[in-house]
Amino acid sequence: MGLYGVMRTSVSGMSAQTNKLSTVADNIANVNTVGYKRAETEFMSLIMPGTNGAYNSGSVASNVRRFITDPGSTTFTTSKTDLALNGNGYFLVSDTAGNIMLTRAGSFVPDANGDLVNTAGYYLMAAPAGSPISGSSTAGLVRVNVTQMTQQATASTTGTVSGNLDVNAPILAGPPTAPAYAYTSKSSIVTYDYVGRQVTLDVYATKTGTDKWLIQVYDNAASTNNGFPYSSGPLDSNTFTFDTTAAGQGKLTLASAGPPPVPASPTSLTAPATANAPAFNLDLSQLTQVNASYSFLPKVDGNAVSQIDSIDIDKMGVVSAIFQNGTKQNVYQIELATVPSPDNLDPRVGNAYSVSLASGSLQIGNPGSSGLGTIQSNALEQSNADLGNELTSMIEAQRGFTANSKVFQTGDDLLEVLVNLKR
Amino acid sequence: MSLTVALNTAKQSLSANGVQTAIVSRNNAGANDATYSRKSALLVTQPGGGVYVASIGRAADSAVFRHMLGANSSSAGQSAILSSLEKLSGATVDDPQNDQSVSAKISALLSTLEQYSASPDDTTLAQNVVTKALATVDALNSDTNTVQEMRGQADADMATSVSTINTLLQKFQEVNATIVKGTIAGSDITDFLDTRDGILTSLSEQLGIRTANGPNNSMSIYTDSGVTLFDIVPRSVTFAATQNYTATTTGNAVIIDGVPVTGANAVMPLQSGKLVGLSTVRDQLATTYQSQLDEVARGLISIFSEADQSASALPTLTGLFTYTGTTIPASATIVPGLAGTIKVNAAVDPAQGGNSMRIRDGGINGVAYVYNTTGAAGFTGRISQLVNLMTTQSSFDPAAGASTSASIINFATSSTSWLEAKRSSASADSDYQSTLLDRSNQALSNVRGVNTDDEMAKMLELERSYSASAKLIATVDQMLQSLLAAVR
Amino acid sequence: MNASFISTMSLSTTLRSTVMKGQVSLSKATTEATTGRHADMGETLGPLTGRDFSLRSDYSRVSNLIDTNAIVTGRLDATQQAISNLTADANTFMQQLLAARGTAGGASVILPNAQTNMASLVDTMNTTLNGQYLFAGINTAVPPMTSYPGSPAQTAIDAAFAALPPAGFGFPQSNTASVAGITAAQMQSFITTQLDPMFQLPAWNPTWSTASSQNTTSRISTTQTVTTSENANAQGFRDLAEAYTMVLSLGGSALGQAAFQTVVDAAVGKLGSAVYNLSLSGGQLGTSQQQIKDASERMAIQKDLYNGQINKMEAVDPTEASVRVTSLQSQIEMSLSLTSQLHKLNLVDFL
Repeated sequence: MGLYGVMRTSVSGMSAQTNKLSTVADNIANVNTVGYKRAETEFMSLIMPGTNGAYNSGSVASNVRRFITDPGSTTFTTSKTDLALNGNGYFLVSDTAGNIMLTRAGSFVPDANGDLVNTAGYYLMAAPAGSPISGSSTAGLVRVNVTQMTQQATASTTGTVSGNLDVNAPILAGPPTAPAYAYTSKSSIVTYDYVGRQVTLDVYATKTGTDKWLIQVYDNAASTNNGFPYSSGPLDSNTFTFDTTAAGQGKLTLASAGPPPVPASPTSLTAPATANAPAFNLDLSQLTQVNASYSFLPKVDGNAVSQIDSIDIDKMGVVSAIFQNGTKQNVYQIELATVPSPDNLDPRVGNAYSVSLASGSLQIGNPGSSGLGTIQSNALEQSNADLGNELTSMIEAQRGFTANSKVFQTGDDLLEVLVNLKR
Repeated sequence: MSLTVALNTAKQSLSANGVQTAIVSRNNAGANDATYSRKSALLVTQPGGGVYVASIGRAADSAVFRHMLGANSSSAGQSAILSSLEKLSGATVDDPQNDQSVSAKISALLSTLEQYSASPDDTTLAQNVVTKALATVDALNSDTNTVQEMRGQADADMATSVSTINTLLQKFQEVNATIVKGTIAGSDITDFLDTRDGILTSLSEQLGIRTANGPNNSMSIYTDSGVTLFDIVPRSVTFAATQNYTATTTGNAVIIDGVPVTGANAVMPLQSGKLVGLSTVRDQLATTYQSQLDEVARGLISIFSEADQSASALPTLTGLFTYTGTTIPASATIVPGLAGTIKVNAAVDPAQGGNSMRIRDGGINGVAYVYNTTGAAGFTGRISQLVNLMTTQSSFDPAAGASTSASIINFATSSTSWLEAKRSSASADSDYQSTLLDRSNQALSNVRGVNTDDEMAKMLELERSYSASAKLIATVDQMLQSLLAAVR
Repeated sequence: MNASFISTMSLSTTLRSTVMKGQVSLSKATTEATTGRHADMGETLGPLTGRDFSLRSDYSRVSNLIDTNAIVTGRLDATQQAISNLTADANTFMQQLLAARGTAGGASVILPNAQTNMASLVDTMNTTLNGQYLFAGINTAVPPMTSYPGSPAQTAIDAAFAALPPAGFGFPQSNTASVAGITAAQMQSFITTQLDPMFQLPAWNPTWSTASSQNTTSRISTTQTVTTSENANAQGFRDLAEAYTMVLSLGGSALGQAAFQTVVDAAVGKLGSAVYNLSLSGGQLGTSQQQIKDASERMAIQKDLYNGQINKMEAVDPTEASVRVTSLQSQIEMSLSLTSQLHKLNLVDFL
C-alpha cells in the first residue's frame, strides 16, 4: 500500500498501546481496591490483503479483557462484616434503585439504618433465614439489617434432666407435709412463659421406699421463701421406681411381664398449661439411682426476650444475631450467585458486575453448594492487580508506543524525502 | 505468584506476628497471676494467601482444676475450724504451765482446801479457798464468754461468707453470659474464662461446689450436696445472722434455693468449704465445749452443796458455788449456760460481806445447814467431806462428749483433752489439706501457668519471623523500586 | 508441645513455701531449744493434754500435802514433847511422894512440888502452836484448862470436901484441927466416892477442861486420814490432874499421918496409871507420826514420779531441738540461695 499504510499501521499501534497503558493505569490506580478485577488489553493483528511481492501493512486492534474469575489474595481485617469468598461465587448486591448486581467486594458496614452496605454503596442482599433462594430469580432477596433485630420470647415446653438420686438416702414417710416438710433432695429449673418471663419450678425428690422416689414439681412463685410451704399443691407429682438389678443397673424400671409382672416407672412429669405458658414436660427418663451423690442437671428450651448484642456470619453464610441473654438466632442466609461466563459480566461502577447477554443468566445458591464457595468473615479479597506486572506492562506499552512512533517518524521522513524529490 | 501477593502475605505474617507477640506479652503479664492461664494463638494457613490467627487457645485442664476446687473447699473448711479451735484453746487452756485452764483452777482449789484442812482455824487459808473458788468461777465465766463470742464470730463470718457467695454468683452470671455470647460470636473469651475460673476458685473457698458444662461454654454450679446454686440465674442464698449468742441460742441455717444446707436440720448438708467449717464451730465444737463447761459448773455446784443437818428434811441447797437459783441441778444432766452464771456464794465471800469460815462450818443457807455444831475451830469434817467429794467419781452427761464418770478434776481435764485432741487433729488435717491444695495449685499452675523462659524463647522466634517478613517487604519494595527506575 | 512444663510461678512458689514452712518450724524449734518444752503443748499432746493436766494437778496436790504434813508433824512433835515432859514430871513426883510418905511433915515437903507440877500440867495443856491449842481436840481456838488455884475445879473440890457427911467431911480444909481428925478410912472413902467421879468423863468437862474429846484429823496423803492430836480429856491427863489434886486439895499438911499415907498411896496409884496412859497416848501419836513420815516419803517418791512423767510428756530434748534449729537454718539458707540462683536463671538476662 505504501507509506501511508505504514503510517496508519503505526498509528493503530500507538492507539493500541495507549489502550494498554490505559488499562495499566486503571490497574495501578486500583491496586489496593477491594474486589477489583484487573483489566488487560490484548492485541489482535489486522492483515490487509496483499499481492505477491507487495506487503500491505495492516493494523492492530486492541481488545480489553477483564480477569473477573481470577481471585485476589485474601487479607484479614478486624471487622466481622468484612466478607471474603473462597470460591467462584459472587455476593448479590443491589444499588439504591434495587438493581441486583454481583460483586466480590465484601467490605460491608452497617449504614445509618443498620443495612450492610459496601464501599461502593451497594447493599448486601440475602434471603431471610428459613427461606433460601435458588435458581435465577432474585425475588425474595432482602437487605441484611444488623440492628433491628429483637428476639421473640419462646415459651419453654420441654426440659430434659440428666442426674442421679442417691441410692443410699434414708427412706422418708412420704410427701413433704407440715411441719417438718421432710424431703430428700431439691432442685430448681428456670423456664420461660409466652412473654419471656422466668418461671422457676422447684423439683422435690423424696425417697419413699426402696428404689421408690416421689418426685414433685411445685411453682416457685407459690412460695415466699423458695421452699415449703407452697400456697398451692404440686403442679405434677408421681412415684418413680428404679431397677437395681442387672437388667436396669439403676435406671428407671421398664415394664416386665414377670413373673411377677412389674409395671413400668413413669418417665416424665408435666406442668399443666396456664393462660401464660404452655404445658411444660419434664423428661426424667435419664435419671438414675446409683451409689453416687445427688445431681440434677436440667436442659430446658425456650428463651426470654432480648436485644441484639452482636451478629455472627458463618462459613455457610448464615447471619445470626447473638442476643444479650447469650442466645443465638439465625436471621439471614447470605446467598451467592454466579453466571456461566463470569468474565463476560458487564462491569459497573464500584467493582460490581451486572449480568449481560454474554455472561448468561444468574445461578443463585447457598454458599458451599455447586462451586459457589464459602464465606469468610473478617477477611477481604484484595485487588488481583499486581504492581510488578503492571509496571512491566507499562514499560512494554511505552516501548511499543515509542517503536510505533519511530515507525511513523520513519514513514514521515520517507514522505518528506518523497516530497522533496519534486523541486 | 506475584509481587503484590508476596507483599500481602508478608503483611499478613506481620499482623499474625503482632497478635502472637501480644499474646506473649499477655502471658508475661500474667506470669504471676495464679488465675491466669497460658494463651496461644491458633494459626491457620490460607491456601495461597498466608496465615491468619483463627482463634486464641487457652491451656486448661478441667480435671486438675476440679481437683483444686475440691482441695480449696476442704482446706478453707479445715482452716476455719483450726483457727477457731486455736483461739478457743489459747483463751481457755493455753500452756499447761500457765495454770489458767479451768482444770488447773479446780486443782488449785482442791490443794487449797487440803491446806485449809490442815489448819482449819486459819482465816487466811479460808480466804485463800474463796480466792481460788473465785478464780475458778472467773475461768468458767470467761470461758463461757469466749465460747459464745466465738459462736457469734462464726455466725458473723457465715453472714459475710453468704454475702460473698451472692456477690460472686452475680458476677458469675455476667461473666457466664459474656462467655456464652463470646463463644457463639467466636470472639476471644479466654480472659473471661480465666475470670470465671477465678470466681469459681473464690466460690469454692466458701462452699464445696460442683460444676456442669452446658452448651456454648455455659456453666451451671451446684453445691457439693447437689443444691442448685446457679443455673441460668443465681439461686437465692440466705442466712439470718444472730447478733448475741448465749449457751441456749441456736444459730440459723444457711438456706440455698429454699434448702437448709448447714446445721442439724440440713436436708442436703454441705460437705466442705468455709461455711461448713464455721457452722461446725458454731453448732458443734463450741456448743459441745460449752456443755463441758456447764457440766464442770454443775459438778462444782453439786459437790459444794449443803445438806440439811437438823434432821428436819430441808432440801439440799447450793453452797460455796451457786448460780441464779439455789436448788441443785439434776445429776448427769447438762444445764445450758450454767458455766456463765455460776458464782461464789456471797455468804462466803468476805468481799461481799460473807464469812469465809462457812466453808469449814457450813451454814451458808442458815443454821439448819451448820455442820460444825459445836463451833470448834479445828473442825475438819466438812472440809474433809468436800475434799473427798472433789476426788470421788460422779456421773456426767454423756452428751457433753467428755468422761461420763470421773472426779470433777478428771472431768475438767478430759474436757481439755477433748479440745486439744480436736485441735491436734484439726491441725494435722489442715496441714494435710493445705499441702494438698499447694500440690493441686502447683499441678494446675504447671498445666496452665506461664513459663517466662518459654515465652521469651517464643518471642525470639517471633522476632526472627518478624525480621524475615520485614526483610521480604523491603526486598519486594526494592524490586519494585528497580522496576520504577526502569521506567524513564 | 512441651513434654515437661513447669510454670514460673509454681517454680517460685515452691521455694517460697519451703522457706515459709521452714521459718515456721524454725521458730518452733528455737522455742523448744531454749525452753526445753514443746512449743505448742496442746497441739503436740492432743488427747494426752488432759493427762498432762491431771499429772500437774496430782503433782501440786502431793507437793501441797508434803508441805501440810510438815506442819502436822511439827504439831505432833510438840505434842509428843509435852507428853514426855509430863511423864518425867509424874515420875519425879512419884519418887518424891514415896520419900515423903513415911516422913513426918512430908506433906509440907511435897506440897510446893505438887503446885509446880499442877501449874506445869495446865501450862502444857494450854500449849499453842501457830495459834492452835494443841490439846484442845478440835476446839483449837479455846485454851482447854485454866490455872488451878481459884479455878472452878478447885471450887468444886473444896465444896465436895466441905459437904456434910456422909458425902464430905462437913468442914473446910482450912479447919486444920478437924482435918487432922480425918481417918484413913474416911479419906479412902472420900477419894473413892467423891473425888474419883469428878475426874471421870463427862464430869471432867467443863469443870476441868473445855477441850473437845474429838481429836483433830489430818489428811496426810490423797487417801489417808489420821488422828493428829491428843486432847486434854485423855485418861493420862485426868489421872495426872487427880494425883496432883489429891496432894493439893485434900487437907495437905494438916492431915494425920494415916490419912496422909492413904492420900499418898492413892496419888501414887493415879500417877502410875497416868504414866501408863500417857505412854499409850504417846504411842498412838507415834503411830500417826510414823504414818505421816511414811506417807510423806511415799509422796516424795510419787512427786518425783509425777515430775518425771510431766517432763516426759512436755519436755523436748534440747540437743535434738538445737540440732533441728541448725538443720532448718541450713535448709532455709539453701532455699534462699536456690531462689536467688533461680532468679539469675532467666532467659531475659541472656538476650
